[in-house]
Formats: sequence, C-alpha cells, structure tokens
Amino acid sequence: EEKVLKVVTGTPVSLVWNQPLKDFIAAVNERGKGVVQVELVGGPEAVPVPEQFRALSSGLVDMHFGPNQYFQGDIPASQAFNASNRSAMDLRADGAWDVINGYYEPQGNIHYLGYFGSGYEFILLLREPPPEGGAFGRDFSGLRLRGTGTYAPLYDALGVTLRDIQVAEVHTALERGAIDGLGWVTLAATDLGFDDFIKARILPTFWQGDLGMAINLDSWNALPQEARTILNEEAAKAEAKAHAFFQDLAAKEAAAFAAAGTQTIELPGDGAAAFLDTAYASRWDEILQRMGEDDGGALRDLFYRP
Amino acid sequence: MAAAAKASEGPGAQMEWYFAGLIMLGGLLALMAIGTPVFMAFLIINAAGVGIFFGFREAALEQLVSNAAASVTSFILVPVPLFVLMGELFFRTGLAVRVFDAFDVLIGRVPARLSYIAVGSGTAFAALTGTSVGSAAMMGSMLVPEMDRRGYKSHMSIGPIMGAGGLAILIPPSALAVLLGSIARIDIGSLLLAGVVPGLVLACLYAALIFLQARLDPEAAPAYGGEGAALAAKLRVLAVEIAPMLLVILLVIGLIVGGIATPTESAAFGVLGVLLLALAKGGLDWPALRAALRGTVKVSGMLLIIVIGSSTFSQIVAFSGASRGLLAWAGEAQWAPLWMLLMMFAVLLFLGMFLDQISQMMLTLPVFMPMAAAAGYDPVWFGVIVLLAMEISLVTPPFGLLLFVMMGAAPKGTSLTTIATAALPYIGCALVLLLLLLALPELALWLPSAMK
Amino acid sequence: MTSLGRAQAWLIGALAWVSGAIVAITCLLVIVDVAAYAAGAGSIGWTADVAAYGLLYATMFAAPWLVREKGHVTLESFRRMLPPGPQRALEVLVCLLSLLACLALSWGGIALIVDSIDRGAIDFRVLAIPRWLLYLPLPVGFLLMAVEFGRVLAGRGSLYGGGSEGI
Ligand code: NA
Ligand code: NA
Repeated sequence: EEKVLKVVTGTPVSLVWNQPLKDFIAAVNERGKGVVQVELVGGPEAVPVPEQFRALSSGLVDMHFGPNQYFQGDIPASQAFNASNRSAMDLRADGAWDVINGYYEPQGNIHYLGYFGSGYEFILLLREPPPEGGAFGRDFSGLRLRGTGTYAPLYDALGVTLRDIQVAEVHTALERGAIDGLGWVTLAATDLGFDDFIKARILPTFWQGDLGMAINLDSWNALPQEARTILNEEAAKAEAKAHAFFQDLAAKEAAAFAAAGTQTIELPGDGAAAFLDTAYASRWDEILQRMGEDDGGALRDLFYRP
Repeated sequence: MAAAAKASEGPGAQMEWYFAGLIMLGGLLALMAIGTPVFMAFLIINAAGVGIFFGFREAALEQLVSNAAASVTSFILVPVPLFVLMGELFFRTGLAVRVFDAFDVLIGRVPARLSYIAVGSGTAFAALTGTSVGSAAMMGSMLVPEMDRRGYKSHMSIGPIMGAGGLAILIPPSALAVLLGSIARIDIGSLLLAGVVPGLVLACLYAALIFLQARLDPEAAPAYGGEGAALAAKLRVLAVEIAPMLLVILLVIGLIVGGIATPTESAAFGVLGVLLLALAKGGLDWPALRAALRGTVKVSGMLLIIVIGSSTFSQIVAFSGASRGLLAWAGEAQWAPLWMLLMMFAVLLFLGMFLDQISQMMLTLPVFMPMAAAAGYDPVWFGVIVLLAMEISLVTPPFGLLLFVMMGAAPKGTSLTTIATAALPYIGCALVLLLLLLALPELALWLPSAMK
Repeated sequence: MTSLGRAQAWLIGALAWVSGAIVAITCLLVIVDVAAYAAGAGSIGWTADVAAYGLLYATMFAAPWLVREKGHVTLESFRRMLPPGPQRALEVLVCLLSLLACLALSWGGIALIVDSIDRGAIDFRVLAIPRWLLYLPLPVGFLLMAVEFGRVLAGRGSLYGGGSEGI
C-alpha cells in the first residue's frame, strides 16, 4: 500500500529556499510510485513557524523542511548545523545524522533525514564601510545592526547594538537609516531590495544555513524498509544538489551586489581569524552550555573544523 | 486522480476540497448568524476543524492553542494598542473637542468638512505609518464620537476613516507590500514606488465621493456655524489648537522618515506626544487617563481576540486543502488574459472575506504569479492589483478588521451591517481604481520607471 | 451575588486593568529603548520580545472582562427577527457551544503548559524565555471566559445588549 507523507515547509512556498524540497518531492514521487509519496501541504500559512516543531513532533504533519533553528528551543543539538562549517556531504559520510538522531529521536520524536543548508553562509551587510582598526581589522562598535537572538552574543563581542526588527520592516529601516545594516545570509538580500541601501559586504562569511528535512519518528517507523531506502537515498542526492544550487545562488548574489556598486571588504588575516573565532565560539559556547562539555564537545568536533 | 488515491488514508486524509471549505466557511457563517460573538465563532469552528482534519486527539487541541499563541505575537499588531491609546487619550483629554472647534472657526461653512479632514489626515497618517488597523483605530476613537456629537451620520464619519486606513497598504512604507514583494519575488523598490500614484488617486476618489454624498444628502454632514470668524481669530486657533496637534502627528511621521524609529516604534511616541500636549492644555487628569486606558483595553482586546480566532482559522483552512483546491481549480482555467485577471481578483476578494492578508498572499501568490506572467501582465503592476484586493478585504464582512475597528469606535447601537454598508462606496472607489489601472497601467508603472 | 461570584467579577476586572497596564508599560519601554539608542546609550534589545508577549497577555486578560461587558463583536440582525422564545433558545445554544470550546481550549492549553515544562522547552527570542510562559495566558483567559458563558447559561446576564447591538 502506498504511504502518503504530508510535509510542511518553514518558509513561504514560492521562495528559493524550497527549491531543494521541490526537487526532493519530485524525485521521491517518481521513484516511489506505489510505495511512498510526499505531499506538500504548505508553509507558514498552514502551520505558523513557532509551532512547526510541535506539529512535526506530535505527528500532525509527517515531515518538515526548513530552518532547524525552529527546533532549538526543544533540541539543543539542532543548533549544530548553524554553527557548522562542513558540507552536508562530508557530514553524511562521517555518519553525523546518526549522532544527530541520538538527540532528535528521544528529545523530539523526530528522525533527521537530510541537511540542505551547507551551500550558503551568513554575512554582515552594512550601509557604510566601517572604519579600520580594532581586533577585527575593522571597527564595528556603535553600529546598530538588525539581527535575531542568534546574533546577540556575536554582536555583543563586536560592540554592535542588536535591533530585533522584523524582516518586513528591514527595508524601511535601512532606507530611513534606523539601522546601519544587518546580519543576513549570502542569498536573497537582493530579492528583498536591500542592495538599494547596502554599500559594504564584510568578508569572511561565517556560520552556515541550517535548512533540514526531518520526519516524525512514528511515521518513519511505520514505513516499510523500501520506502525508507527511497527517502534516504533521495535525501542524499538532494543534499548534494542543494549544496551546488545554493553555492550558485550565493555567487549570483555576490555578482548582483557588485553590479549595484556594493564594496566587498575583506577583514585582514589576523582580524578575519579573530572574527571567525568569535562568531563560531558565540554559537558553540551556547551549545556546550546547554548540552554539557562531553556531548556538546563531541558534536563540535564533528560539525566544526577550524 | 491522485486525490482519489489519497482518500483512503487515515484521519486527516483529504476530503474533497469544496466539502472541507463548506464545513469551515459554512460553519463559521452559521455560527455568526445565530449571534455567536465573532471571535467565539472562529474558535468554535477551529476546534471542530482540527478535530475533523487532524483527528480528535489531544495533540490537535494543543496545536490549536499553540497556533493561537503564535498568531497574536506578530509584529504587524504591536502598534495597534498603542495607536488606539493615542486616539483614546486625544479624545478623553478633551483635545479632540478643541481641535474640532478650531476647524469650525478655521474652515467655516464647508459641508462635510470633518469628513474631508478624516480622509486627509487619515490618509497622511495611515500612509506614512504603514499600519491600517492601528491608524484606523486611532482615527476612529479620536474622530468618530465627536463627529457623532456634531450631527454627522455614521457613514460620513466611519466611511472615510475605513477608506483612509486601507491606503496604508498602497502608499509606502508598507510592510504588507514588502511581504508581497518577497513572497511573489517582485522587485520591492519598484513595487513600493508603484503604489504611490494609485494611492493618491484613490484618496482623490474618496474626496470626490464625500463631495457627492454631501450633495445628495446634506443632512448627513451638517454645515453648521463658523461663518464670519475674523482672520485674527482664525490665525489664533491655527496657532493655539491646530498647530500643536499637527506637531504630534508630525512627530510620529518624522521619527519614521528621520530614521529614528521604525513604524512600529513611532506609535509609542504618538502616545507620548498626546500626553504632553494634554498636559500643556490642562486636560490630563486621572479620570481621563483611566477612561483612555479602559477604552484602549476594550477596543484592542476586542480586535486582537478576533485576530487570534481568525488567523488560526486561516491556518486550518490552508491545512485542510480547501484553499489549495480552489486555487488548483483556478489555476486550470484557460481564459483570455483579462478574464483571467478578473477571476484572480474575484478569488482574492472571496478569500478576503474569511482570511487575513498575509495568509491570502502566501496561499495565492505561488499560483497567481505564474498565471499573471503567462497572461503577459507586468509583475509590478500585478502586485499593485493584489495590494488593492488586500485593501478591499480589510472592509469585507464577515471578517474585515477595519469593520471591527469601527465597531469599537462607533456610537452605541451601531451594527456591523451599518458599518459594512458605510464601507461599500469606498469599495466602489477601489473598483474604479482597478478599472483605471486596467485602462492605464502607467498609473502604477510610470513612477518606478522614472525613478530607476 | 455569592462570594464566589464576587471573586470572579473582581478577578476579571483586575485582569482587565493588568491588560491596560501591559499596554502602558510596552509604550514606556519602547520610548525608553528608542531614546536610549538615539542618545547613543545602547539598546534594551528585548523590547520586541516584551511587546510580543505583552500583546498576547493583554488580549487574553481582557477577553473575559469583554464577555461580561458585552464588548465583543456580535451579529444580531438575524437574532432580532425572532420572537423572544427562540431568541433565548439560540442564546443558550451559543453559550453552550462557546462554553464547550472554551473548556476544550483550556484543556489544550494546560496540556501544552505541562508538556512544555516537562520538556524544558525554551522560546528563543533575544531573551531565552521558558515556553510555558507563552502559553500561560491562554488557559487563564479561556477558563474565565468559560465561567462567563456558564453564568449566562444559568440565566445571570446576557451576551447581548452591549455597544455592538442593533441592526
Ligand atoms: Na503606508
Ligand atoms: Na474581509
């Protein structure tokens, strides 16, 4: 008997983030005829973002695609993806999903299937180039940057004031100068029109995307072996495809920024190293604090290679 | 068909989309008709809906409650109570009476002058703060009771405020336009600029409408008093009464334009400004503060609990497959471009009767944007058309947030029917604008192309 | 009025004032926050968190009082066309359905709170807030509303006749 799995996505369906999901669904539905099918129910309009974890965990939906940050309140280990600097392919080859499932399954009743965010990173986008100087080669102190709670420790270390402004208000805030810039990903800023106001992109990039695919553990256990094999193999293929897809998009984004006259500012060697140390430490300190030195440390060794 | 194959799956499996839609929408209408408080009608049908579509289990109820918690913690709503408080303070401290008396002296015997003032100041305020519901609630609690006391019929007071409130969406800054641009992948800068001229045209249409209404029914907006005031008296009220109030409104707008505060944050400064003004005029006392706070709790509590009910309702409709079914049906249509456009507009108006704007956009745009492109329409122009539909849906019953806002502001005994009727001519204006945009796409597209 | 009835009346009235206080405090906090970073003194940072939670608490704490005050929007055109007998019958039906829904939602809310405490779930915003705090106002509001609908069901007061009546 054919199993139909309902999937909800964490971002509006039309956005680029969902391309890997759409590819995955097409591949599974083609290969899985008569065995397993995946049906996209919708995005945040169907299940609001803060409650998507609950819907997946309780089995109201079978699968979830989207930022694993949504799970961080319940599963500390879900923060490892954002704090990683290794590709999905390398992580899979090292058996990282088994380690992750050691937390996802007991803590969230969720089975982790695949990681689709390693092709893009995070970046600081500013309205003006920051002055030279300081431990990072450029002085960020006193800037007001948009960010979420994730950025708080990093911004603290940089001397930046965190402004928690909603995405829909960022355009106006940039236009009016209510913020001096924002922490963002290496994609989709030009889609949102930020390039009209951003004059400086700061390199190196840091952290990386945390789009993931997960399935409710009961739904997973109820699947026949054949269906599980199809999902696993197609997830692996989709991971590699997504990595290339997002890398390509990030390159296009950088080109679009260059075309709009945005400067790329590279922090000098020592400054860049200090910046990256600070950025990654800000995430891993939190993970270690929540998971303990042993579990958190093991996770860090697997996900982060300085 | 694939849907038939899925029909055999356990609880929560697909039922035909029109059947799911009928349960949700029909149930809602029936509950409202028998006199269930609107928010309760949503919540009752939500509870039934999660049972039907998710299965009758505790997890489904938990999801319903947690979705409700998520729905009202949305940034678009944060300024609502603050703007309501600003309007309430303005009214309860007696500032409203003074400003209105001043306008009587200043403008003299122009029929329906307060309606023009409502449209003019409402447009400026809504447009520049970018929040429809908040600014309409502010204008409502500030203007409507006083206009009522001066003999204005309710359609001449609440109508203009609802019309002006909708303009917040078209004229930048507009969070909804930014969301539309990002979901539909339309250039956001162009889309924001494209709304300016149509928004101003719509404001002019409103003014023409008031002129017409005042001509047809002079009793509705009495042209009393005020004649023969000397220039000195006029200058005096301008300086003493009107200028300080303008200062407060300019403070709110200036904070946004000057980049000091976001639209959300500026609301708080509106409250501060009115408080200081009332203090200076000697109208600030404990009873006035008490009454203003009580009025704020009443209006914003009534509104936000409806938002809790309705956004959870939108989610269940989306999950049930009812709206996806409707859209799939619409997507299969093979009509001439113009008919296609009108059909999409009609679907938006229909969904707008029941769903909030953001849910509507997330549901429809993935289907409509490719259709609009295939029909050869410019995406920026089409975006303006969608914004216009969003604006109309703010005042269409049974779920129209601006209708409920006016319910809180209007004099006792004003029914939802009266308010919805007052909004009708303003919907007419929006439809006229739709025709103008169809005949003259440059109305929207000229400004973005000139500025790039 | 029984002492229990008086306690209920006092409680919903007090919560309505808490609701007003939340709006006032949010307002103050936003002003201080904006003024602080405009003056170069940094930012509170968690203002948006407080504003968001405040919105939910203010709404749920005002809702039971609004039932008592007949402050909720209601459509009455159809009801008013009926003779008094059927009118009362419909009111009973409405109260019964509302009471059941409120109880179901309270149950769901309490289950959520218990579950969130069990899991130690956290709501990560700028602040890390225990998640049960997000859900807390919902069962409180719904339970008190259930009592209000129960009152009307028992013939004490009516849902109708407030500011929102008439055709
Ligand atoms: Na606006
Ligand atoms: Na509507």
